[in-house]
Amino acid sequence: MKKLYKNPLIILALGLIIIISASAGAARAAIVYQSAAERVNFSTATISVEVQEKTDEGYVAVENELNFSEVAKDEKFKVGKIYNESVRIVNNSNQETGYSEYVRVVVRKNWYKDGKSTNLAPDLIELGIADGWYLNPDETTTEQAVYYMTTPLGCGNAAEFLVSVQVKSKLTSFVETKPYVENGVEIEGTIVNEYLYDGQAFQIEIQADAVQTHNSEDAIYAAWGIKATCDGQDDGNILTIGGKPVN
Amino acid sequence: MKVNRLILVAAAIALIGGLAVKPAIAYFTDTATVSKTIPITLGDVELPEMDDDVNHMIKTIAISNTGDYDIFVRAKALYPDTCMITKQTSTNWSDLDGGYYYYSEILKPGEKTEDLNLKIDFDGSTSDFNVIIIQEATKVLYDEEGNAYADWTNAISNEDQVQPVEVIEQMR
Repeated sequence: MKKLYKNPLIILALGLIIIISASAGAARAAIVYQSAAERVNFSTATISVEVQEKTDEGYVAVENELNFSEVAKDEKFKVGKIYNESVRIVNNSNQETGYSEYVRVVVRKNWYKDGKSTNLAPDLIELGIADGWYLNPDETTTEQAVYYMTTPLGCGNAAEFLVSVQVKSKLTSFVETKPYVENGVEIEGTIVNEYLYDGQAFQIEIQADAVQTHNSEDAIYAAWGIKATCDGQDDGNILTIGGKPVN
Repeated sequence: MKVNRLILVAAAIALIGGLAVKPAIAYFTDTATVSKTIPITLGDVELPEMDDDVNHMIKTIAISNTGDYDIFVRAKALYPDTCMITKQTSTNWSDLDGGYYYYSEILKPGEKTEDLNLKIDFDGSTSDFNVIIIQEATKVLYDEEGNAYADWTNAISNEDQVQPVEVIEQMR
């Protein structure tokens, strides 16, 4: 050991030899099964998840930024108004494999002005979530919420998720009255209201995570780090998350 | 020298560990992330502009929202006892309610109300009087269910700009 320590390159070399050997073994095994008469092309099955939102042209995939078509129709965002939006999660895995998947959605929200405004209240940003999603209280804060779909999402299927966006009217009550100042001179008898949230922007992030439904409990734990129980080893419905029943 | 060897050992372990990570991930997963940032502007309502005209003893008013926020508006008429005011057909304007005529629609920035037509009748005892319109506006608020409503206790009005004495003199 002391010798190895003095020659660290030996450790590196040994490690690389082990990994290369393992890779060569796997590759050789694949070649054994090939013959001129029975040649099969195969690829590793993968699962995929996509976020879509409803526009005037129907549902479209969202790559990075949501559009929020109803919000976009107003010149300015109206505090208190409920905007009916429609964002859904889609299992867009390869149709040939037809794999179902478990889906969870992590929602993060915060205020932003020249950086994250940590002194303002994210719970004034109200997001309406469609029925059928389990909100895990153990992973939820005022800034983050984690929702689980308790049944597998079939290949090609979609699950409605976000149905509305609202900033609560209470936000307008955070106001401070100050004397009006013009050109550095305080105008007597004239006041102005300064709103705490004026000029702020609210940010919403929606992160959809998917994991395979085979070996369901182990897969969920490995991928998301949370213990779940299901009513079947494969493709089962989720019964508990973090030890709590979801229904 | 000893430090260099330690660094080399750490680098070797990190490299081997890194190469070994991918085969260890045995479960298929995927992630998609989207976001949105929406700015908020807050401020006070400005007193809207009002068109005011009299023709054939019909006073016609219309209020324009020249500010930055959605508003509700209402209007009332001040007039002497020697005359009487009657609302004529006026789309979206309510009948007299507590001394005010209420416009039922939300007035967005840049929008203008339909005409409010008020017929003026007087008993002929004086030929010199005035009918003054007081207009009020308040920002559109929303309740917990997202329904729009008006809080008239926080309305702005042009009443302060009308001198009471002047009104009385004009009415006489």
